Amino acid sequence: MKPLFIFLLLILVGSCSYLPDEELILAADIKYEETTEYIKLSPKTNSTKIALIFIPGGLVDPHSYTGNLEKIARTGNTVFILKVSANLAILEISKSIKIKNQFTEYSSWYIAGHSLGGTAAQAVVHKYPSDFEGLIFNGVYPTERYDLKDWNRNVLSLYAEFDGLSTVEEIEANKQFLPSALTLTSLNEIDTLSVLGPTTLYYEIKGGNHSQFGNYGQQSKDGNATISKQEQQDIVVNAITKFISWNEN
Amino acid sequence: MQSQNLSVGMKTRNQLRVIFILVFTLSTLFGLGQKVEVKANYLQGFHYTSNWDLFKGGSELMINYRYPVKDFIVNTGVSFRTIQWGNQLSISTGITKSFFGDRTEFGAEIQNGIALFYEKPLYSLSLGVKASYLFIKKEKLTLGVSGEIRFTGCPRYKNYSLIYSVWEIPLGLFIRF
Repeated sequence: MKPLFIFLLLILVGSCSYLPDEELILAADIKYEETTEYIKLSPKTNSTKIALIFIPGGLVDPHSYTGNLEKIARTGNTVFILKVSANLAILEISKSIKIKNQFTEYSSWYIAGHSLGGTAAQAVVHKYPSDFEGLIFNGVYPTERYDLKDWNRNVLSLYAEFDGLSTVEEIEANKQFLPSALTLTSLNEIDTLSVLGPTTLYYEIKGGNHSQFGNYGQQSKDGNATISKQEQQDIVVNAITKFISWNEN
Repeated sequence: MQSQNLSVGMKTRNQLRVIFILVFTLSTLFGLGQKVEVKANYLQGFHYTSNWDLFKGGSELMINYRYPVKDFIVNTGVSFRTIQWGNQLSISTGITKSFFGDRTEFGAEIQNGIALFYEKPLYSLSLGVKASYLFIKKEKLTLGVSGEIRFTGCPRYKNYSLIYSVWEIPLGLFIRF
């Protein structure tokens, strides 16, 4: 019986998720639709044909990202936040494709993820390379298992200076698993960027950390941010918006 | 300071909840001369909050301790499952009675649980009615299947999500020893 108790204890400790640190507030200008599979955020007017699937970090409640991602919806693009069993997206790789196939009104699809959700996004692209126009990482380092160095699309990798879970060193050490690297010193560089082939744009968020990519408090083992959550998330939204716009043109 | 005290108080309450659940689990599994049931459920959802829809409700592992009370069998135990709000741990209490011979059982169950969130676990409640069929019934080992209709709600999750209650059909396979 002893191993069973240890197993139960591990399940108990290892299966707790992070709850959003803010209650759900529905913005007046955003259409909010929630099913058991996704949370859809779309603009009430002037919607584009571009959609972004966002995969939450492991054991992070998906509603922790709505406040941030509705800002992307305000730019005209539709965002689908994936909902998965046990809040572990890596267990349900095919769900992103299921959503993409369900909404045929969108012509251009991007996939993004935070933390382990980014690894899941990498796995999705690895399995379905022609389904997405771009991949976006928020505090993620790629894994060799889903090597994308030969993928013929662009990637945006946003990482934070004080990220204790996807450190700057880990980002640097795993660049070989994504298309060729280009490090940005300012997000404004994207506006005039001209590249010859598939490129990974790297941008370090000075003063940011891992937890502030979402709204769920301070994650265990993370570093301490020296910028506010609002500042970090504004940078993330600005970067994603610029990346999609640049990639589409 | 006030918020610190509040935070310490919440943590203490949460620790007490966890200790209670663990002590309960221990007493369940170390009960002498009792029948233990281990059950795995697949939960097929068909309604959430105010929408009818077929969806994958999750998976569940239950460990129950069964004992007779008059003509009934009372069961108490713990269950761990995946659900719309992540993972959930519950204490279950139920009652069953055999009908049409000794291989068919009908019963009802209530589960008091917590949605597993760091620092702020949320209370959840399940109510269900179930039917079981025992296809192997021996003195030391019983195998069977079960079907159930169950409601589960997590009222405070309403503050974070539009989906905070579900109706499901748990389909189970169990072993008793």
